[in-house]
Amino acid sequence: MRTMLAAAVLLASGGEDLSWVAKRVDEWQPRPSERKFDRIGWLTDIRAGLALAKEHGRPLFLFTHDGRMAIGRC
Amino acid sequence: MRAVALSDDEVIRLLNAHFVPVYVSMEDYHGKAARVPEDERKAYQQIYRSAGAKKLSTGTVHLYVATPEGEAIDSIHVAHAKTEKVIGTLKAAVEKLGVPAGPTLVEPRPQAATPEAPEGALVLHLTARAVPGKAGGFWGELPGEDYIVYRREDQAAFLPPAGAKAWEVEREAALKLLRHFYPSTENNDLAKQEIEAVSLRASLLEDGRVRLDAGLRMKHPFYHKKDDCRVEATAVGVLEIDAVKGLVKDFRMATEKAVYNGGTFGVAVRTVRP
Repeated sequence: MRTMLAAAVLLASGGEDLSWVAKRVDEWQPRPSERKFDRIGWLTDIRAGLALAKEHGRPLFLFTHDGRMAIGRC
Repeated sequence: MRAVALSDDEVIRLLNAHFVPVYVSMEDYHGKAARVPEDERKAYQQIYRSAGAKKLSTGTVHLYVATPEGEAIDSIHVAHAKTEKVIGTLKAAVEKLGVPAGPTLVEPRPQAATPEAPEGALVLHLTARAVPGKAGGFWGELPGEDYIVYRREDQAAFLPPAGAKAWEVEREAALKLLRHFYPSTENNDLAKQEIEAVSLRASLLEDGRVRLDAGLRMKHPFYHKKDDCRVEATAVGVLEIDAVKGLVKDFRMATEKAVYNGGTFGVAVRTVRP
């Protein structure tokens, strides 16, 4: 059955098995270990950060960078 | 920084329990792309200048610890921000200011959020990462991500013209996606790229799907100045389309081979909201 399905897919795609595309797309997605940054309760505005710091008596931790940290383009 | 210290469990715990964590891109504060309001820029300058006045290190790529009044009490250049040093700095600030542990003040959420898009838009998520092959030539610790939005009317480029079985996707539509085919570098300004060769051929498969074959040779400076770093890539895409509505229902693409500045990388593209 699996062989017949594979043959049908091959026929439909002009004789070439394109299943590797979807497989590779899945494999290359960001992994949870690469998104640990998201576990931090971030703000992206210093004024809002200082207001919250005053309200709760906490220090501000400010990370300044170039590019776009949220998407790893930095 | 994001890949090491800011992915460390103890750093994450300290930041959430004792601090108000903020990150900002200096591109929004200085230069031609500056877009933050004046009072936000002043809030940054106060912290920056107070650090300088105390002979602490300062710079655009930096960590600062400041009081709620915006007075810097410590700082670290990112190049020196090893995990142990960051933990030590955070703990010292907690002790100095006597900050008890408490709940996380801002709900953690995915920072790479899917952008807003008009109805009928095709929203693509792109991941560019180091893959097995030749190492080096770019930052490989974490993937770079992008979102690309094709409005409803833009998707016609991926649909077969009447009676056609194969066609070339128009250059503008092709480059809207392919300009993002680069790994993590210091420079992310697409305007600094030079397209040397690009093609995106489409063909209709017998099952009604569309196959895309992409080829790209593009200069992409590693830093914000001219160099000879270039991307050379080929990729294959498989699209499910709704020819009646003129929409792309599903879009998947992956590089067959991609190199940049001597290193091997891969790009994966998928639909996040049809």
